[in-house]
Amino acid sequence: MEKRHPLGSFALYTTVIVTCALLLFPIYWMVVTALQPASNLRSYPPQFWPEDPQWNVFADLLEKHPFVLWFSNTILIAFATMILSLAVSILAAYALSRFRLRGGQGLGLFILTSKMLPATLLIIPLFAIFRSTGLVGSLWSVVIAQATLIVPFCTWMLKGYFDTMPPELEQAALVDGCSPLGTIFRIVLPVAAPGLAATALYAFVVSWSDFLFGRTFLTTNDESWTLQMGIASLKGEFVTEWNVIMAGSIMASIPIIIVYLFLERFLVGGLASGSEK
Amino acid sequence: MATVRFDHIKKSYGAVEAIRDFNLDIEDGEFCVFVGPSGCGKSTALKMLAGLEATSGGSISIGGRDVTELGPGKRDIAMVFQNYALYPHMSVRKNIGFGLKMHGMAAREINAKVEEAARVLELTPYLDRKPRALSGGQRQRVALGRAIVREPKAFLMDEPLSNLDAKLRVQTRSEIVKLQKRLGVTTIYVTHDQTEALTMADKIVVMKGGVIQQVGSAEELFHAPNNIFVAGFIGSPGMNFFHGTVEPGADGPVTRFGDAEIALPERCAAMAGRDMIFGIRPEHLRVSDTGPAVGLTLVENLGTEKILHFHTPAQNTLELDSTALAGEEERDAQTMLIRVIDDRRYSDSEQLNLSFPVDKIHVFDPDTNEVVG
Amino acid sequence: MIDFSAPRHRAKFGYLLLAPAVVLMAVIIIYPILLSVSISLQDVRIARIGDGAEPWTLENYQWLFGSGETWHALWVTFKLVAVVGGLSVIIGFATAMLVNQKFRGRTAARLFVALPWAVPEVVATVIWAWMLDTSFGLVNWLLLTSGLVIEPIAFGSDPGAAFAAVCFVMIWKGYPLMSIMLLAGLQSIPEEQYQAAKVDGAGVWQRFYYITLPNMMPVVGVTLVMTTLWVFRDFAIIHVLTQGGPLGETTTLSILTFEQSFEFFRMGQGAAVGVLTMVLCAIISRALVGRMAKSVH
Repeated sequence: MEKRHPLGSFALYTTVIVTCALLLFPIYWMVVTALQPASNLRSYPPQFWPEDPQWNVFADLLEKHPFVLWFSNTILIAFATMILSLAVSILAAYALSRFRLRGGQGLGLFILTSKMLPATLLIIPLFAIFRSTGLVGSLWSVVIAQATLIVPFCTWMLKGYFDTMPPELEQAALVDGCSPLGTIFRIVLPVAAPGLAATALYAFVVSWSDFLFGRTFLTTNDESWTLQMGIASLKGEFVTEWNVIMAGSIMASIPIIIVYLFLERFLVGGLASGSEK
Repeated sequence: MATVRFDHIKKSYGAVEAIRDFNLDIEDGEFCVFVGPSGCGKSTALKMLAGLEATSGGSISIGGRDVTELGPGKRDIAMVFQNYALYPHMSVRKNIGFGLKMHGMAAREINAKVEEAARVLELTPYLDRKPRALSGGQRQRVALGRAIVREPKAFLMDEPLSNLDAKLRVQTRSEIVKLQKRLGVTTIYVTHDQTEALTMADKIVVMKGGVIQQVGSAEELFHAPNNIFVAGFIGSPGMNFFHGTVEPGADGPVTRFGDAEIALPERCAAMAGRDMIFGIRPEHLRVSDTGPAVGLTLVENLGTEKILHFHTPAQNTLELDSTALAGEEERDAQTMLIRVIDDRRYSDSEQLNLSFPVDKIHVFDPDTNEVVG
Repeated sequence: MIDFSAPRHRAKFGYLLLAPAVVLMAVIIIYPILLSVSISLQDVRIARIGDGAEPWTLENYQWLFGSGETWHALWVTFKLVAVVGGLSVIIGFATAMLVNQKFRGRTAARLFVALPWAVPEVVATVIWAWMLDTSFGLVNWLLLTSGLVIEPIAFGSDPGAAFAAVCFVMIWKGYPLMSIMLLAGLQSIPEEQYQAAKVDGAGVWQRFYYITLPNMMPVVGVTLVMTTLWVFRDFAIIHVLTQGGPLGETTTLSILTFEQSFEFFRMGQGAAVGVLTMVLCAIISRALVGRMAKSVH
């Protein structure tokens, strides 16, 4: 289905490139700023290309701040959240997709309404709960809080995906002697791999980017700080070392941008299949 | 001994009774076909037999063992689905061997059995392909392979041919029958196509609205249907129906058809004065020199076989709504068909005389819709 | 051990599968919500559980509706929703239409257009904070050299400019989701409708107006509601950029909730603001829920 575009193909390509360049400029600027020597940051007019890139800004960053600690905390939290959310949502989504459950409709509704909860409200009682269970300052507080808020959306996405798979597959497996739990692990999950990838990506991205839960539950414990908390702390009230903070930002964004680039097509598919129904 | 028995099986969804009091005995090695229009409950009955649906009452036995409370994997059955349900992420080899693996068979044994099944079904060159690289017919054979390799007590098949094109369907039909005869496994087969039922089955179970209408061989159902529904459902093109008042005639009971009288079977004498429903198959109507005259409205010429259409005389036309045939859109009560095989040429609007062989007339009670006598 | 493959027990298996999700949400969402409502009805500084119950009081709500802070926060939130929502839709729609065209490299273009979604909020905020720096930021340099302003805009200290700064960041972070969902919507419009219109002689703008827009309305609606809820809830961007200042000009309801609870340690009042926010969000999402509820079952 070829459409002759009204703009003509040269104009189209130009528009696309210019648009992308404009929209992604801040990311470029982050990289440029990180590599500038501190004195150049105050230059006027600003340099668009670093003539004297300071590659040791990264070493600088690691020296002055416990960046590696922040990084490893964030990775641990992101993985734990992803696994926990996936485990819970897979089971729930499968149940909602395959079974006519009483209260299933109500639960489905609840799942959607929990997307509208302001987390800033939730942290007040959660703070009290975590304090009494000694979880304040522990990475698990963020993992549990995050996972619970991610599960509803993941369940919705996965249910949409499972709905596209014919139930006869599992019926055939049951007749073949597979246990019901076995059908989920041997048949449904392998076939639903793209949908799982999308959901995992979503959980990972959301968890990596969290700031609120970290700021609320982990501030008191230096050892538990996450990347986002760390970077926010580098923005001083009066003085900020912009090149250093940009270097940190690069390191905080690269992993997630990579994950995004690899799995984006699954996300679009997952969102689309979940939203079209 | 792999007999199958349905004992007073019931299935309700809330207040709706989908299946009521289903009783059936299937012999060891029999090819039994459940046939009926959509919504008649045949698939539900099969699913209950498979253990994929719970029963609301009654019991099911396979090989003498009560399996009603057992899961599908424990009933020693194998199933072929309409859309094959092959595991897309596994090779043909793994697909076929999956059931054996689930039952704990050793890998070497599994391999041997899979190769054997593949040989029987001519799938050997495809063993390491994935289902998406196969044609419809090949996928169907993989589904069959998955079933036969388990050597179960019964095969269950849910409209396995519906997704194939017409030519492949006819070819695969006979292959399935040959396979079943060779393996001797009790088979329960569900279809909405009565031709499949007639050509494949040892025993046919005609269903409508969750109730068994009649059980019998193709012969029995064709020549001695129990009620109007079975009479009209079995056979293609379907039986002609008309009604008339039974009158006593010189040589026995007669009724008026169009401008003449036709003789009725002797047992109709007891119904003198009543308006009854009659049926006669297009292949049994004869073109003759005497008898009611009709004008042809359409001639379908298939070579030596021809289907002749004519208008049912007004006074004999059946009011469909009041019979068991109500709701069947394809049935046109105002037209009747004759099937002839000869070298004579027929033309539209030609006038013909018909004879109604008395032993081929079926008589139905209009109140019960059942056959009389 | 119950054999869950048996037909009689199949439904139980479903409930079992649902259990972890139900338990998790009961403990971490339902219970806390009830707890917050109770906190909002007590004179609480720092919330603890298991303490002697405080007497019920409506003081917090009296403060809520009486103080100017809440109304101001409501106003700020409303303005933000309007600006961010409106501009995100436009940019999202435009980019979606752009990458919906057929050209080589289309897949890469889609990837890049939605990239800001993957950038963590804190990072995005920090980058924009630098670009909007009063003295050395790029934006001020552009504005000055292009002659649009005479003096650099103090994005940090000028209330109006600070609000604009927050908008910049939120729009940059917000449009990708719009873009992705609107693209999915665009792709689901059957080609036949456009073909029929072309046959009827409709030009590019007419096709857009009579076919694209009407077909897209539902998706636009859903995405707008989602974006609105996001603006209501968002915390990181505003907190890192302006801390809600200057003079509360960028304090949304969400920021106010946090401020009251964890900076002034008046959790009772904070909870009251939070409850109000939750109720408003519930009302707004009724539109979303109504439409989507049909799809869940």
